[in-house]
Amino acid sequence: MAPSLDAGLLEPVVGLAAGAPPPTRGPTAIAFSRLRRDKGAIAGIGVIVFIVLVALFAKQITELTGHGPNETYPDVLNQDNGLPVGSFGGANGHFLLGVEPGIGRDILSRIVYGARVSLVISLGSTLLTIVLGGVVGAIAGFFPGKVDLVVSRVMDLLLAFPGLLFTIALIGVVPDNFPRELLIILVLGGLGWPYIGRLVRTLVLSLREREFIEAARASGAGEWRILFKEILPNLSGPLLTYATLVIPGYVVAEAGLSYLGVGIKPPTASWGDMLANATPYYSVDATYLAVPGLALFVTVFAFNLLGDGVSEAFNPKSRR
Amino acid sequence: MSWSPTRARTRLPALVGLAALALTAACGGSTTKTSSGTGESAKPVAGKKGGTLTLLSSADFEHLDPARVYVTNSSDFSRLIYRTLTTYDNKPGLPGTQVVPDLATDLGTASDGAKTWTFHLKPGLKYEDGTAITSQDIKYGVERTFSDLLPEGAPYFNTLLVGTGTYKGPYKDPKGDLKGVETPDATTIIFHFMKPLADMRYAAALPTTAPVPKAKDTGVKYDARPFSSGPYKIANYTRGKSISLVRNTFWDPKSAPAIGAYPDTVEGLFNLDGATIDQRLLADNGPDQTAITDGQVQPENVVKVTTDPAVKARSITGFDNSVSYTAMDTTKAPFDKLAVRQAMEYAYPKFAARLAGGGSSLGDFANSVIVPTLSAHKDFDLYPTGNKGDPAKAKQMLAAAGFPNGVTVTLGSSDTPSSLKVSAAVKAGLAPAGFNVTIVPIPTAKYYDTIGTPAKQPNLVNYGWIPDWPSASTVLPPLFTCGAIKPQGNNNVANYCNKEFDALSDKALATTDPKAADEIWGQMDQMLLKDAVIIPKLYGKVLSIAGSKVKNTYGALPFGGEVDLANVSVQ
Amino acid sequence: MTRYLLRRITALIALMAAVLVVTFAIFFLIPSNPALRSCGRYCSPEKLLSIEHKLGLDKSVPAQFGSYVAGLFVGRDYGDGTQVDHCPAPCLGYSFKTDEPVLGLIVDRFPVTFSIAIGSAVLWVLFGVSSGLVSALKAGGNVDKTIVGVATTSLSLPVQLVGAALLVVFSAKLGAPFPHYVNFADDPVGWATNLIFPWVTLAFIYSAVYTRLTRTQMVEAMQEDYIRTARGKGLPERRVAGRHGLRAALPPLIVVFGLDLGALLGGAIITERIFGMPGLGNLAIQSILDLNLPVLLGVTLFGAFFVLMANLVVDVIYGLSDPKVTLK
Repeated sequence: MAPSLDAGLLEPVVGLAAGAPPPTRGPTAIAFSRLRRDKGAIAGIGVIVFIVLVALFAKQITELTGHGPNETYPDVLNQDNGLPVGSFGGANGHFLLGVEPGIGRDILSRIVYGARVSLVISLGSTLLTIVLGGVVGAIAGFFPGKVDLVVSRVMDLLLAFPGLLFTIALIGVVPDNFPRELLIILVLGGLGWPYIGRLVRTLVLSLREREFIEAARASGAGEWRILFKEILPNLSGPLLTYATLVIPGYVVAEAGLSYLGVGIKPPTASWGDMLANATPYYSVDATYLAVPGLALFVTVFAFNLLGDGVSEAFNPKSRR
Repeated sequence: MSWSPTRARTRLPALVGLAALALTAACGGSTTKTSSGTGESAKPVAGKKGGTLTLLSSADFEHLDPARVYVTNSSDFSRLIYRTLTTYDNKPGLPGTQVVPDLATDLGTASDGAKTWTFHLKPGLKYEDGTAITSQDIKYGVERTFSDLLPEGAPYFNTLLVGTGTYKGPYKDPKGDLKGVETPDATTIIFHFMKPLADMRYAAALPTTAPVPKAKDTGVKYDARPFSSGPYKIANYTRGKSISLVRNTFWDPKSAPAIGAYPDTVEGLFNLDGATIDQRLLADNGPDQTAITDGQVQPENVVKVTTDPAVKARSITGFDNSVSYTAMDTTKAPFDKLAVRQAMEYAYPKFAARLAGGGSSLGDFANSVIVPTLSAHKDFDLYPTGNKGDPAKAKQMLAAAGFPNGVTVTLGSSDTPSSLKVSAAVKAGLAPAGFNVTIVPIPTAKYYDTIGTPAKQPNLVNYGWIPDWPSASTVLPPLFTCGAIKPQGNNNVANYCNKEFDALSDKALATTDPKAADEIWGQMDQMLLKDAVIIPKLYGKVLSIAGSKVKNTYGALPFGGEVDLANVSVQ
Repeated sequence: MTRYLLRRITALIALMAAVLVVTFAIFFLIPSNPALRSCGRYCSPEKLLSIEHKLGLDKSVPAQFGSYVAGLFVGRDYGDGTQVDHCPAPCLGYSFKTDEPVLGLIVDRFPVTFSIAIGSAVLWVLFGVSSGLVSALKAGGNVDKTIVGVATTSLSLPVQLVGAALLVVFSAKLGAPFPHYVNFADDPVGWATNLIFPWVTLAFIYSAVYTRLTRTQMVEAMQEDYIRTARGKGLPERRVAGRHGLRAALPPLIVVFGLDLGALLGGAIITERIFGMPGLGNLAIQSILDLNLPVLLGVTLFGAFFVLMANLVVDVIYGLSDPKVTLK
């Protein structure tokens, strides 16, 4: 579910915490077969696959149009005020989605390359969130006592920070030559993992009392081995569900950071930056605003559909 | 005249403000080289009394304490609250850059080779509580600027007066006395400077000479409630939110011919979004009909403002007295070589850069540092390329200078979207000339910190300047003399140090005949371009709009082309 | 219960202290000198030093931290010579830019943020929960699908687009006045009308969250055995849903609501920015741009306080509302 971005909490609200999944392989397979029957989720997957392909083949696509993402064509603009000539943001046979005011970059090329940034940041942040949250949360749940105490307090501390404000401040204090994409991933993931971390901790607390863990212990398996071989695989359901639910939040977060001036920096093309640039142009060049806005919306929407599908597939109670 | 380093009047404070430095100074419609303001005339303006004027602003004033006011929008507004020895005339265009007596009876009498200046106050001047304004209060106001607590104001009196260096201001040194200012009686004030100050009539118009009664001084809190000697007093001021002014009934309009003060009340609203300010003024509904802004029209709305006749009629355009340029760090490779710098002069795509920033409304292309609205301005273009850049010629020159395969240079850019867009256009334009540009985005909050530290600055940095008063003496010396180079807070961002240039500067400063001085300033301006130290980009222009019921909305050059708040009226 | 509260409050204080240490360390290690921003155009090294002294930046970071903490408990003196101002405890320092006490700035801005948060919370609870209930009771039907579809759509729209759209359509095109904040005490009607846009913007996104959450919780609850029992007893469906279903679905909603509200009270940065509302979010962004560290620190602490308080309150309410949970 959605991040309350404006409040700064990048926390998805997950209703699946209630019941720990049973420790068998079966439910995952069942869940996937349920997912295959979910039209919304399939549509979402379709769109996502399309976006991924676009991102992967960005270079080839822009070679077709002949305009790289950073090539400028100022000559096609109005030479007095820099606005695109013609309706729909200067869209024509050469520039299918129009050109950028002032500088004349091909918007299609930037959208295509922007897909990379959007995906890399959202997936990277999600991966970091899941790995950190899964591993650290599992450790806390599996080793009650001092370890749990320390980890839980660290999670409490991170959860106490006003998220968006702190994200902005952190990005501001890191040296300017640090790669910005990586920084955003580190900050989003680094502040976002405690939500799933807490959830995992609770799940592991109950899992570790199950018979199959006892059995593994009786057969002489070490604690770490049990944690990684027995416990973590059983968390794949909730972790996967959580992952699909946070991705759209991180897509939106990247755009929000750009809006506030601390996101991805040009010349790297990113949807958030394009949107931030275009927002003031709503009255004179609506196409300029609509294109990145639509790209962002469609991506988030597709991930939301997938997230809903996965969530329902693993937690079928919510469906009737 | 005032500094506007971050272009405080551009709306998203600092954030977009720095876009300005990337290239743009401001926005403006016409392309004439001589006029400022819509109605160029030497006639003083007059308006109808009454009504409420609303000022819509993206940010609160940096300061209102006369010891701390410096940037253009605060200086403009400060004339509503307090008076100074002299003040700028209420005329549109160049005549408005002349000063007239305000508290004083004349523009001051010089003696001792312009090192000593004497002023007499007009009789019967009163504060908002009816008490008399005395010359001692003006001295106290000057003394305050020596305090460490109030460091932000224009640094002239507190660096040039006799006593500088030993006197620490009235808080640390309550028994002390500023030797450089004498007040033989309540209506006479005498300034003693260590060096000649030929431009004293302008310096006397700085907020530094506003009277502050010692009994009313509240230290750092004075900023929120300066005691009024001007046409209005503060009824209510919440920093960062709003201010409201009501008439000061003890102010005598007859004693202040250059100040109209037509509206009965003035309301200010701060921290509004730039786009919202535009939309409110464009929509022109209800109370917004009597509103103005101290900001600029956003780039995206320029077309509407310059083409829709109904809106154009309400627009305010003209030069803002600013110049924007890109400086080359002359102390580091590759720009330590004159030939490389000259190649850059030929290569630089001024046209594409201006287009990326918003187009012709931003200003006119510049070929010099001294703007056309200063008398020292000279017309010349040492590197004529029609402003488009000549990459072929530049490439040849680079090859001849020993870089046949081109050269990589860093360009510092504030990290706002608009600023980065301009930098991207510059990068694209310089590539064919063999300059491979690496853009270094600098967070807005650290921009001046970074480029003002020679050890950290990129090869190319964007800079802009508005004179403190309409004379080249407040342009060239602070920007290009050897003494201006500092390890932190550096203004000489080209790190240009030329003894010959410095000698001319000293000569011009000591020249009391303005015409002769202007001749020397003009010569120095050409020297900068011969040495290819900076690439002048634009003489900035403003473009702003006012509500349909606001009149006398000419841009005042002394205040960076902003509306002369002391003389607008509402219907 | 009392012991539980005491323990939680102690933990809250400890966490606040940790937040203070971490935030202070991060902000005051910024590789930039805020004093330069006040040093002006002709900044001499001596002048820079005197400004650093005024702002306390000439001391080491631990020493600065020491005086900050001291200010929290016993207050601080600020100024020079005859102009010394005492900032009483709890003193959060002074704004680097305007020399005003930070606490005063926060107290001044908080009503704006509070008004935005409360108003939008009322809206999103009304819309979100009711449409979620309808959706759950008609689960699987067309009404349900429509509601879920609308909710997923509005959830996928970035807040800055929603805000921009409201301004374009209603203010720029239809001539509604552009919003600016009016004090509730001065003009309650003006207060409400000017806040409609931010309320709607936030409620737009949050309603979607609550619609979906309510729906999920209700659907789950309605499948519980005791609901079937109630149905079996012949109770009308509406009564079953209202009395039994909602009661079971409510506690998780309360938890989420508390956390969301707590976070919003720290400032809705983007929304405040779009509509020019002078709240804590705007103050925070401005202080980042100005390197106004004491203000930034103050707002962060204030925000953290609300997050932690919300956690505490939510846990207590949850404990009281759910007999299965005991607070100890």
